[in-house]
Amino acid sequence: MDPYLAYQRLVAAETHTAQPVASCRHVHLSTQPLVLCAYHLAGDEGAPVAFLYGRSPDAANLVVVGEPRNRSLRFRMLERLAADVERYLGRFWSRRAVVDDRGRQKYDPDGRPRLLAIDAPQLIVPNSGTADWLTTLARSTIWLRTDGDYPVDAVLPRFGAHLTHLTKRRATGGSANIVAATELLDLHWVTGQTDAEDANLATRLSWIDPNWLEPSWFSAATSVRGLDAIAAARLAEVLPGAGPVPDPTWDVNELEPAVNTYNRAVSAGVDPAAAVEAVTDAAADALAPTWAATWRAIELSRGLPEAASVSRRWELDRQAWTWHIGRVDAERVWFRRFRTAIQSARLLAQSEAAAATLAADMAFDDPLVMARAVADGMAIEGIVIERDDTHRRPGPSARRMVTRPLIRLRPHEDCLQPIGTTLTWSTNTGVELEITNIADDGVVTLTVTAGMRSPLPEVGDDVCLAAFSPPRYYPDTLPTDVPWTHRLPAPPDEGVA
Amino acid sequence: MTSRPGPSPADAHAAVVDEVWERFAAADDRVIGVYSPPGAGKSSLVRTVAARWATDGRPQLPIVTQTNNQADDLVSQLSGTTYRVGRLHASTYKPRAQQVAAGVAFSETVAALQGCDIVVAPARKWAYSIQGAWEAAVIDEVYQMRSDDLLRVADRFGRVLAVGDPGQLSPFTIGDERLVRGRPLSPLATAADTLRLTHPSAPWRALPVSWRLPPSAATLVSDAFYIRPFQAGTAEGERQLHCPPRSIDRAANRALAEAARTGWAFVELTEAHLPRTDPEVVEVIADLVDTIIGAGVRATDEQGVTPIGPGSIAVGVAHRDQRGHVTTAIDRGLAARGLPPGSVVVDTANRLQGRQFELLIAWHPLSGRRDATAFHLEAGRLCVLLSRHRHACLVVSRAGIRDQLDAHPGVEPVWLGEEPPAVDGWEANLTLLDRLEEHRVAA
Repeated sequence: MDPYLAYQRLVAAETHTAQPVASCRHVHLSTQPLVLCAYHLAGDEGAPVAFLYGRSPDAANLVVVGEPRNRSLRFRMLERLAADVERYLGRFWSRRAVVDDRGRQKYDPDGRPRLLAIDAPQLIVPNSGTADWLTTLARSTIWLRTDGDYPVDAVLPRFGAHLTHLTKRRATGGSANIVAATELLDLHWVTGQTDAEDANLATRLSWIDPNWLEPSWFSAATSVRGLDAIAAARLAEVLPGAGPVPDPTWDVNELEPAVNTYNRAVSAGVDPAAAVEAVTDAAADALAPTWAATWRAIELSRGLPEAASVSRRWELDRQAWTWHIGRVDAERVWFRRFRTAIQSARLLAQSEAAAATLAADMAFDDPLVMARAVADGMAIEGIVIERDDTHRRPGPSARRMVTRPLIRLRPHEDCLQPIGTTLTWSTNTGVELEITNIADDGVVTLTVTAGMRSPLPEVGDDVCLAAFSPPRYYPDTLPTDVPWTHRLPAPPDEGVA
Repeated sequence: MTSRPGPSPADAHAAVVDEVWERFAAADDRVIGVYSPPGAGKSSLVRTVAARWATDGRPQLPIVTQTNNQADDLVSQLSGTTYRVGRLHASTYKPRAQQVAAGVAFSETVAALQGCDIVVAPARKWAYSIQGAWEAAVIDEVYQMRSDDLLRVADRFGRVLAVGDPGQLSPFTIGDERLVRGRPLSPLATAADTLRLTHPSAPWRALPVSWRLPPSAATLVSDAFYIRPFQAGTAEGERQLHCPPRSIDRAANRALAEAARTGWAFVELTEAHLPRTDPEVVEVIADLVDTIIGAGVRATDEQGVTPIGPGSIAVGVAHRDQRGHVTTAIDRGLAARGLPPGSVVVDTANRLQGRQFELLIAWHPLSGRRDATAFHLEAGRLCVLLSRHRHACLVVSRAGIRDQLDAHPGVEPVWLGEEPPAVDGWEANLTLLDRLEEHRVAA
């Protein structure tokens, strides 16, 4: 763990209060997200039990399945969920033309006018577990057939395709199409508890807002107001699990009796719609605190000002969404079951670029994030004590001298970067400086190597110089055909059957 | 010198080099592989093959390295010969003056280097050079090369000679590896593993002798980190460190004496959980460096007797912030002796790959930690740190590593459909610890 986070965690534990580790919000938050909480059977990711979802805290829809092991019932429930999700996604179908600075339409390489979705969907789930499980849900629905012996409604494979697109975005990194509330809190606050405890949304939220707990979730004798973080987190610990795997005690005490009630009633001839009530009640009670916690996490994060690069990352989500709905409209939403070596390499390259961009963007957007880099030695802070704008040194060709302003910096801590390292000025990332000397007294001599026409740090300025920079983009060099080194030999002949 | 069974190390080595060259020249195999343990003469093999290729009057031979530093080192070794060497490079690269003087051709484009017998460049640069196709190529450090880097260049080359050290650090990603794991030909596999998978009948030969490691280290490193065993090229006692007698009251002196006597020292600090920039370890390492420089150590080897100065010592660490703190501390000591800063190399394991020193001081990756993550357990990381030296290696660590290994359960996922690592990091760490503890010196 980096020293600054470790320190903030100790402060949190000491003061019983979560500590901020970001001064602005690094994730786009939609004005109309779809929050989704879910349970599946323990040990069976393919058997959902209940979904609680909706677009505002006081408009929750609940779908459950009376007997989660019954596949027909399962797909009927998923069809209801899928229809509602599709209705939500339908709100993001409008696109507008992309124009250049002078208002002229831009065109794609294939000659069609370039469009961009005005907004894109955002699913917010309680925790990383649920976000990861959406990938399984996508895979278990996208390949379902609408014909044959066990046909499903066409909405299900469509739902699977949408979910495949959105979960793929999440895996590539830096995307806000799917957001886990725990990760949202993790980016902006640290608590005084362990990582394992932090994975629990309810206890983590209690550190940041001890007053989020509802009296109705506890016995009448329990006081839920005026608690400090640790007391609130202790109380929150006993709340039902945030999913997607339910608490084992809930399975035994609530789910199993409710499912048994359903099965008995149905075999006795009761209308299944009425018989499912016991499961509905159990799931509604269990998911209610998680629903509240997810919305509270969104509300807290909305209170932070949006970081500068958030809209740029959201535009990438909107571009990807535009591409996706274009394929939907053209009935060409196809995904591969298995990726080729080239597709895997491309996906990994995208993921790496997104991760590097996100890390650098966050640091340059937010002094609190940059503080971590400073504590880690990856950035240097100090006072400019001298600047020589007339300094000259040999140019690249070594034949003539070029002007390269010189700056001397007295760092607040020892400079841990070696001589020759290129640093980027956090105030203007166009300015790059190379460490040319580190004196015995710690004073660092820097030569400006890029951006010397823009305003440079002044003598007396307290500056921050990072040993990393916003990533540059290079064209993709992947081949179009799989080369001879990446073709698997034909499997040995298995003989004639 | 005790007699060895079988051919002499030099003959065993030459036999492998000759066989590899003959097969490469015969062009019967699309892939030829060479396993090369640390200091086994990989560069000399590449040099020999390149020289014979050029002498034969064959078409241009590209050599693919993994970093600019490796390309520069290789060019230095190849220059000053009768054949023409070219170095393909990116626009931001600055050619080294002595190489320009030695007649090496530098260019950003393949076309400008057409007259060269041999062209050296890192894989990433080859990927950006759009033109060109070659009959054959040499891939250096193929175990450092990621499968997707090979994917980007492979179709330029009709066949390849792939040379590498299987004990290097595994390729890694800052992206989400779950995207691409669990399938054969994952972009995160090594290029070597990819070639073995797609060309199962390709001949792979192992260089049998480490010329760098002394016998004290060759056996230990071979046992802990390699499936195919290798031996030292020098005999017991052929290399020696002589230090004038010093007070044994100081731990650093005792550690140096132990290292001089046995080739190893395990400097152990009291057990504690600390941030990874543990200031006491920094102090101990700086003190060791200062002690060695001040002790007037002389080294005897095959070439004669040489004094051990700052340039013969290196410090290997796991993290960049450790490098920063150690460099700062060492440079202060050097300044006090009137020596320029940076005269002792301090670097992370992955940047020390392929380099060689007389003495190496290693900061144990697990020192002072509460956990044992895959990064810190990785066999390759430890193997690189402990196989850079020609005489002795001093390992500095907090006590309690054995307990840490025992207590920390493995949490790394197993990727179905992929080969597990040939050497298990956890086991390698324990094997190594068993041997290092015989050389323990309390700090």
